[in-house]
Amino acid sequence: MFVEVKNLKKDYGIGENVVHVLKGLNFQLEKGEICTVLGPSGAGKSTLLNLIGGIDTLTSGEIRINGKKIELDDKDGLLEYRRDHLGFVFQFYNLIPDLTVKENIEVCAFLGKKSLDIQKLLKDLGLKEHQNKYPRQLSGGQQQRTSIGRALVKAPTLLLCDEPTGALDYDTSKEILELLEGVNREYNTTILIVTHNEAISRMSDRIIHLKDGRITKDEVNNTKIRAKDLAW
Amino acid sequence: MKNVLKKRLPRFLKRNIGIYGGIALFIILVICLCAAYVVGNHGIRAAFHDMEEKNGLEDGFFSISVPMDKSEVSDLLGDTLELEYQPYVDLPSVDESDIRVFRMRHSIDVPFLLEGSFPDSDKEIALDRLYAETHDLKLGDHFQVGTEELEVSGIIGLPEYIVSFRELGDLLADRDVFGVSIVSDGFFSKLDEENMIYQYAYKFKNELSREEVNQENREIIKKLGDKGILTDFCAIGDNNRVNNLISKLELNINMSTYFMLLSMVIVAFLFALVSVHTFEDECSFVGVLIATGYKKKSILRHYLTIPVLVTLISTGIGLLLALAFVYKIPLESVYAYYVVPKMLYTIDPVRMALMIGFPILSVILINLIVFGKKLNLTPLRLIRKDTKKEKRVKNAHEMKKLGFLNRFRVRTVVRSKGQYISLIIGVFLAGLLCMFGLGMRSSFDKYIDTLPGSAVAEYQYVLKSPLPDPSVLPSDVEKDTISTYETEYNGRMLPVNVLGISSDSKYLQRIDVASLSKDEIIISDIMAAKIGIHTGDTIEISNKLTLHTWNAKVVKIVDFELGVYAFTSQDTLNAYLEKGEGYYNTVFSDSEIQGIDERFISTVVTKEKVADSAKQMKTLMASLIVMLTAVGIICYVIVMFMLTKMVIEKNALNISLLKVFGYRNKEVNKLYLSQTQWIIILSVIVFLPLQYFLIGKLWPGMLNSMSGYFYFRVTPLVLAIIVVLGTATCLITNAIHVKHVRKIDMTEALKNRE
Repeated sequence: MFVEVKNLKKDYGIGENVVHVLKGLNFQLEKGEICTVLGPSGAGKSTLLNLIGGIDTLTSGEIRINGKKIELDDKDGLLEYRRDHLGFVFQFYNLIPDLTVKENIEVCAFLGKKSLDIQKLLKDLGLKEHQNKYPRQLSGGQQQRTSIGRALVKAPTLLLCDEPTGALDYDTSKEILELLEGVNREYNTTILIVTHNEAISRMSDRIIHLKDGRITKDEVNNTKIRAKDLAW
Repeated sequence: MKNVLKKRLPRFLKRNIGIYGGIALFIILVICLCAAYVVGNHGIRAAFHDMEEKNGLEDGFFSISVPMDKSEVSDLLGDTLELEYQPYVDLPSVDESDIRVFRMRHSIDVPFLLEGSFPDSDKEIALDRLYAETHDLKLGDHFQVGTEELEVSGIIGLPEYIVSFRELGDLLADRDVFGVSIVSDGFFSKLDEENMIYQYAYKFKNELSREEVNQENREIIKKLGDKGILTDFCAIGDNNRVNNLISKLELNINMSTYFMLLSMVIVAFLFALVSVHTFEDECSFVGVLIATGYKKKSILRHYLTIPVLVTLISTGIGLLLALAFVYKIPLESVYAYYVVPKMLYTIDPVRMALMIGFPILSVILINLIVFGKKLNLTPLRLIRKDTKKEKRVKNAHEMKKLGFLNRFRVRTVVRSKGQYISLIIGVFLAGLLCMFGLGMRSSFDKYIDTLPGSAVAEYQYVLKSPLPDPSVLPSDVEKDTISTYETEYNGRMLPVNVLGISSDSKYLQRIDVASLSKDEIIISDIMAAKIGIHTGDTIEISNKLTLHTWNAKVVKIVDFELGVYAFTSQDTLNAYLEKGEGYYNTVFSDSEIQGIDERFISTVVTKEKVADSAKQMKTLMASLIVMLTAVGIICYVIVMFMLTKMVIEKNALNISLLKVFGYRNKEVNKLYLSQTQWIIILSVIVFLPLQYFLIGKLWPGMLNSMSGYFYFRVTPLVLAIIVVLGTATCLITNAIHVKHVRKIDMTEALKNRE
């Protein structure tokens, strides 16, 4: 198993005010899988992403990546884990506004031990002609491409996407999903997508339904379709 | 609805306590110190003017060679004058000092009592306060005065001996060797008349204009001179025992005022920054308020409340501290050298209004400008934080030659250029304060160092008249003529020493006066710098005693650090002074001249005395110098801390993002803090010449009240100190920010935001 989540619990607050956000999650992902986590607001999707992303501490349980337990108390270890293994794609792109497209990608290339060739990546992402533009000169789709480029450049083993199409229109959303699919295929990157959009789950290998901090359904998608065929 | 907003205020203040606390501290400090200096010095000036009136400070004095009673003198000089006979004798006393003994005065120069009582009996004496303190004499103590033992009945001050110079031309009062006192008429009548000086003080009965005063003084000299009995004369305007104080007080007040104005510019600047920062932070919230129906006026009032309260409270605290305690600091240095009545607690209305009004007005005005303009935007634009005019964005320059780290830094600086420009301005202003304080110190030091070296000769004897027996003078001395003229400068009369150089000058050969016509003069560089005149300009100078007015063309400016001097030939000056050929009243010599009758010496100037007087002046201003430097440093800390904090806050989201990607804190610091550090250090260094230039321009105005002048000079050490201070402050604030960066939460980046 590439990702193993065992009895994962997360509480916020103390005493009477404690809120149990995640109430004992268990699931596994194979290497190279695309997994979609679906659920309404407040289900605990983002908290799950933060825990797997190594930027928040869990209350109990464990997470293993490639067999290795993530020690959430070890700040340096977490930093190295994020640095070496993870890529992040956000709903609102979170590009650094004063850096160009190319430089935004370089932000993460700087960290990678074996970074990908930026020019090739820019070409693959269809951003070559925009590489010297600032984020505010780009469309939403182009900005999200840049954000994906930034996540991919250090060749992460696990790509965490938080509502990657949440701020995009239909056509552009499909473009971005096709791109993620291509990345998964070409680089064998495991992708965990958190979304409200049920349609997206149809392109993934595994679908996890989350509600009120609990997994209500964990299914393997046997009817996986190509991203270009998605419709909603 | 209003109450809901009010509830937010303490929370808003708590959230921004670092910024408002910094500004409050700065205002308290500046207002407290400036008010203390203004109130302290102004209080003494008021006490002096009060004494001037109540104790009847003289309009001048003269000494005569023979005893004459008051009616005889009055008959001779006319009834426009009120006279007080003030004979005195210098008697040997404790610790090998001399004490000048006067009898009690009743209408002019009446002594002011500081402790005890005036002498009642022949066995009592009232002592000048500083002389008593120096020799550890207290009320009731007995000590030797001449041949008698007297009891100290009172501690006093004499209005015309605020500084007890033994001779009028002395540069430094040394209480170890000289003091003044009052004894009873009974004791005085028993004194030997052999060494008695028959001195009269006078006051004009009517109010006179400056010209009329000069005319009257000339009459007195003429009448007494014609009789052949005048041995000494001094109008109050020329009396250094008295005038010295006022010019020093005014120098202190001027310096504090300049300093205050400069500090207030910084306060206004800080408020501008805070307002812009607050607006950027709260823009969406303001938009929501307007959209929900809040009036712009009440929003404006809401945002004005905290800055106005902070300013009012800190100004109040500053003033309170100044008026209750701190004003004593400047008083100490004045009391240590001058014997003055206790300060009168009076307020200089203009300066006080400035101190209270400037911060509060600046905060209101700046907030009105910042918020007033932005509140006119539509609520939607405010909510979207779309407050700036959209500019067409050009593609970025690639900066191929720079590595990623450097490109990142350049882009960050460009993005936060507003904050960086503010930071640079702040560094400039704080550095200006530091240079003001440290430069003042080094200027004094340089002045003290160079002054003795620039003396014309080892000894300068200023004589009351030519010696009847010139044979006591060695053949190698130089005999010149000196006279005090004055010129109008910035609304006051500035004394100008005119030196008539003899044709066979040995010491002043370099000043070529031989070729000068009667309407031409050469002036010292100090005079040129002080009053801002150049070669080719014409200047009007007039002599108070001869009433000669001279419109002279400046043909040359020469290096002459001793003071405000003009040079002409001895013959020309003698002619203007209506003196005959061969007249002289100053002698320069490389060795001490023995045998000159003391009665003919007005003063002896030595290199040592010149240096001591400059040192004394520095001592008097020491606390002000320390204050300026300290506030400069504190200003550095506050400005740098506030501004760098703003830069980091502006980039907090990006910093958080970088951490999510796996950037180490060290790497984040490299990207966001190191360029700030270099920009600060570079600004500190680059601004040095500009700061030097600016203070140099303000300097003559600051020294306006001084009759002399010295250049504003900074030594390499001062420059090094400013750079070290700036750098150290920068590194300290950086270290604090490193902690702050460490605390920025990574989940910030993951919050969904547009």
